[in-house]
Amino acid sequence: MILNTGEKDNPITFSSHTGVSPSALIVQDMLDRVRREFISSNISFGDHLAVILEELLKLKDETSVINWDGYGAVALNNESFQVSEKFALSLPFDTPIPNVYAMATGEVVFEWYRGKRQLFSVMVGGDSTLSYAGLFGTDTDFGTVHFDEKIPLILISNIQRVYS
Amino acid sequence: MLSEVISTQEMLGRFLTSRTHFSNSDVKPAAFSPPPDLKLSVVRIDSLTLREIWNIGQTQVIDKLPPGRTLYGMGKLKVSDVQSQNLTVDPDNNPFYRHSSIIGWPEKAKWISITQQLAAVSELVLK
Repeated sequence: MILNTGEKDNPITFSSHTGVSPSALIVQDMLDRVRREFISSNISFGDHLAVILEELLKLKDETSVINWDGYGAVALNNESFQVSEKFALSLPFDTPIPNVYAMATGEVVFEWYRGKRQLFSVMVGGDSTLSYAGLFGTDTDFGTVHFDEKIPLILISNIQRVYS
Repeated sequence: MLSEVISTQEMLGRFLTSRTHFSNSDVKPAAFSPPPDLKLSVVRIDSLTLREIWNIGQTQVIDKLPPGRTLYGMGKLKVSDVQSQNLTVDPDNNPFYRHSSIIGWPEKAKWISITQQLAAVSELVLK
């Protein structure tokens, strides 16, 4: 599995300078909705992205109530969900489709999984902090990066490592 | 009666209550996602039959959720596996006998790596 980080970058980008007023949030929400509709209606453009977005929406439905896991989990964090949508839409087109799940503390996690010792995960914070970790045989790698408009290269190379 | 002190070789069970907690053959890291109070619930399962274990999961976890939820199984691991991650098992017997809490979680940035490693050493036991 090859991930091209240059030629096949996702052309959809999100401004990091979003407003915070109620009106700005409404406009942002509308823009996001338009993006989603565009992607899901254009198969050649974003078929696999549509799958990820659908999984995210399903996750939101399943985890929108307190204690959804029976162990006292909080409901999915709205900010984390919004950053997760942007993260998903910024993934290079040839990125394998990840699993998505929610932490009991409300964050969304993207997971590329080939086995219990061959996986890479990214936990998306509502403040756009990405905490990542991978297990590759007996090797581990973990750290934190900030998500702005593009997927950080360290994440791309770790996703590649899962499939190499 | 179980000892008040937990031994490193004791077995623990983490109930799987979501499809995201396991795959066909593996316990997934999601099963070990720490809760907001950072006390991850497990059960001391030594000397219990599978039937007794499922009964605890059903009555103490699933029956306290809205109808329609399922107990899929458990992830089984040793106390020493937990300790290897610099976490502690507190045999608190709260809210029920045999309940223990995995405590001592570090900063959030390290959680994903820890949950991956706990899942990697766990055995999947489906109901």
